[in-house]
Amino acid sequence: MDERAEREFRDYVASRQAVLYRAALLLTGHREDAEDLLQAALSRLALHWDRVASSADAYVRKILYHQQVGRWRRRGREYAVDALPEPAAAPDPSDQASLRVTLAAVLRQLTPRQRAVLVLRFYEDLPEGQVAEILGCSVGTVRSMTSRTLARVRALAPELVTPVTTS
Amino acid sequence: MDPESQDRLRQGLRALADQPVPPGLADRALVGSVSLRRRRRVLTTLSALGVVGVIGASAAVGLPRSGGSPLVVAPPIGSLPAPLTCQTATNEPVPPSGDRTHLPAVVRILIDLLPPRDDYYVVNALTACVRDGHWVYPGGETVAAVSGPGATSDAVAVAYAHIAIGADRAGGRVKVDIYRGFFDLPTTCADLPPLPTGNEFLFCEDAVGDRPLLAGSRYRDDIGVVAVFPDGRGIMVENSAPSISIDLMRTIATHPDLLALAG
Repeated sequence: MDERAEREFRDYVASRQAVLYRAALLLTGHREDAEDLLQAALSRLALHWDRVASSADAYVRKILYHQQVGRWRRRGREYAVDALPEPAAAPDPSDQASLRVTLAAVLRQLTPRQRAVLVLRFYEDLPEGQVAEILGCSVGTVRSMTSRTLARVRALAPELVTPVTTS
Repeated sequence: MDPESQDRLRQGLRALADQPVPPGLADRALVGSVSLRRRRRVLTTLSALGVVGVIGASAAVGLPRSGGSPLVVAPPIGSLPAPLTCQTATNEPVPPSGDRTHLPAVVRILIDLLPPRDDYYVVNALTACVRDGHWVYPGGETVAAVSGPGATSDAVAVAYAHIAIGADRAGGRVKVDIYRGFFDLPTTCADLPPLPTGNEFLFCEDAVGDRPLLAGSRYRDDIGVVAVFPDGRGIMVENSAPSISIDLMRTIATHPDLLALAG
């Protein structure tokens, strides 16, 4: 990578690292795993910078989502368990901290693909067409995956959907 | 889910993701890209000098290519090794002691060679296994071993380990790739191609008898040692930080137990 390309790459990382790191964090659920995942994706981006600089975001997103889904699939662990580990305590979702705890628990129960759909649609706020492109599937598949994922979220944490009213 | 619930979901995801960004991402990515390039370069230049074909990028990072099988035709080196267990590990701490049988063989051997610590962490690792004359990768992808030496063929990665060291990866990372299928490779340092700009050779020793061509190189704090054996097997060790000695990297690159994973 020459000096000019390296400068461009550094500028890109500086401007996009926050949003990419946070997406990686939601995908992995773990700070250091997110760092590893993002670093691997950015390393590949740097390697191909001359070719993909004009569509860097799309390139990195594809790597992030495919690597995260793929590494778990290779491991044969793309499954979700049926219940939250500690379902007894029903936190008040109006409270920010409780909301975080609830969502973190929900994310752990989703398959990597469900988690990817959730992050792409509701964190990155990407349209269905773009999500389909990143995940390499049809818009219809994204639609059905989104619907199934939301149903699962609803089943795991009904309080996210129906606010708990407190007196 | 109604719009209000979706908003709550968005709000929750934003709150959950609201964490400080780790420093130095660009620097580490640039070093990482050099590591990727070096893997490909080492393998492709070695291949170009010999009769083996172009190494697939996925083989160069230690993973099988996607798609149908067979994916790669690799010449046999003598006989295939005894059946191994196909194993992978991703994002797992290494137990400081006790039962590690759930981890791929490459990780177990590597951890025993590294200095004792209780904070090693497997980022990603795999050991391919042997079944019916094929290398089988976790997930069922296969690599046939059907052609003879000198045939157009690729080298294949048969084991890979990426280990992070210390809390917050403070001790850097160690990566090991184990290959088989190189033929007619250079045996002297004089035959090696020059390194990319910014890289420097730390040492190089010619292959003698059964001993491999052994070379070490550095890019910034990233050190790589590669051993290419006369029978076509190869081991590459990389360390960022660096947190282990070059002597230890040489030991790992030439260790018979690791080499045995390639048959």
